[in-house]
Amino acid sequence: MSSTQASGLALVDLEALYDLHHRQALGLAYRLLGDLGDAEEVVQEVFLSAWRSGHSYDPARGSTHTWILSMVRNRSIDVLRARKRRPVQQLAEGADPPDVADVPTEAAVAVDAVAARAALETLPPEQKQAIELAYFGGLSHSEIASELAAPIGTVKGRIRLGLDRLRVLMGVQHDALSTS
Amino acid sequence: MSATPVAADHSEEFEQLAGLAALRALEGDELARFDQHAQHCERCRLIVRLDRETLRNLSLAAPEMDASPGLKDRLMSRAAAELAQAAEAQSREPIPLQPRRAGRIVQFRRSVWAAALAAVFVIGVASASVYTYMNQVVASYVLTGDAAGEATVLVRRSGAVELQLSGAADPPSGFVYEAWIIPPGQQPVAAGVASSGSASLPLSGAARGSTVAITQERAPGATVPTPPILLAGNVG
Repeated sequence: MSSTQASGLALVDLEALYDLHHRQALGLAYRLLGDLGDAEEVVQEVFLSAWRSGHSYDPARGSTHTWILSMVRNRSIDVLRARKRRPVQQLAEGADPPDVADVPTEAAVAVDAVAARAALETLPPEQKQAIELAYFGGLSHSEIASELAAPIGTVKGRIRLGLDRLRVLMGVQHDALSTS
Repeated sequence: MSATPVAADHSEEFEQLAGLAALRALEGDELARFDQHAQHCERCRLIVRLDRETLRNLSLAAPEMDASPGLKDRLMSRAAAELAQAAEAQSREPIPLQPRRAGRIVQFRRSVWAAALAAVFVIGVASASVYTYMNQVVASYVLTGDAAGEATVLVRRSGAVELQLSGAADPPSGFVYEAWIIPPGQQPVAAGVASSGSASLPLSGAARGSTVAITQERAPGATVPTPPILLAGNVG
């Protein structure tokens, strides 16, 4: 047992968690927040929270990696909505954040990441753009409509179609929906 | 034809709103309208759950990024400080509220005012130390479920139990989030309401050993929980 261990928590657990997941967590936070300081603050809070509560994490809700990314997105959106400032960047080109690496450090995550990016790329551009603005830009549906100069109904439809397609591509299926 | 039950007012538009809700891109009246519908529409709740699962996978499409050199050190320092504080607290008795020998202050032999101010300072520091000690979190339990956002039950050294909710969308107008304590084999007991998606609710000690759950209810709150349970977890 580590000398730093107390109350079931050990620094080595946090270090392992951070080493495995921090690069994409930071990439996601930076993509949403557009500010490295804010992004790193969110990432710190998420890793501390995950470390403190890891014993009660439910694996049925997804991998540890996607669990952490989900917390990063939620907290980033809270920060965005608190400051009412939403810098948005394109996902694959243009103003990518500095020091973005193309080669993931963890093999399983890399495979999933490639699959996720590939799935996103298969969407028609207007669906991909609407989903990116919502997911990676943290915009509301009315803000997306304004950003795209499109009617809100059109934005709703594009996002619904895009999510349906992603769901199939990512293998998230449910019998009750497949017959509809 | 869908195999999943739908509400009487179900339409294709609600399925569009389900995707937006999963993205946390739905706001205002439309969010309220969707939440109200989803309470009675199993299909829409299923769509939200599947969309969230899809979006969790989509998070993997985010780019990777190198952290600034000091980030890991700052994180580990914060964690180490938490552990050190917890270890120190375990090995030390609480600091008494009153200074043991007020005469020691007087021996500075400055003015009466200076002595009084010093005494106030000492009492303040001691009180703050005791507060900090008693306020330390000794256990935390994460609530899980289909709802967006995070909810954690914190147990403090003082025995106080608190529910912290963050990252959830604010409830629609006219609704609140309501916490419930469900002791084993007993009926749910209302434990407090929150009018926003980020809130802190004190819970009674009965939460220990019980299930804590969150539902959405019409303001100012209900006496019996209305399905669905948004988040729930067992508190040790």
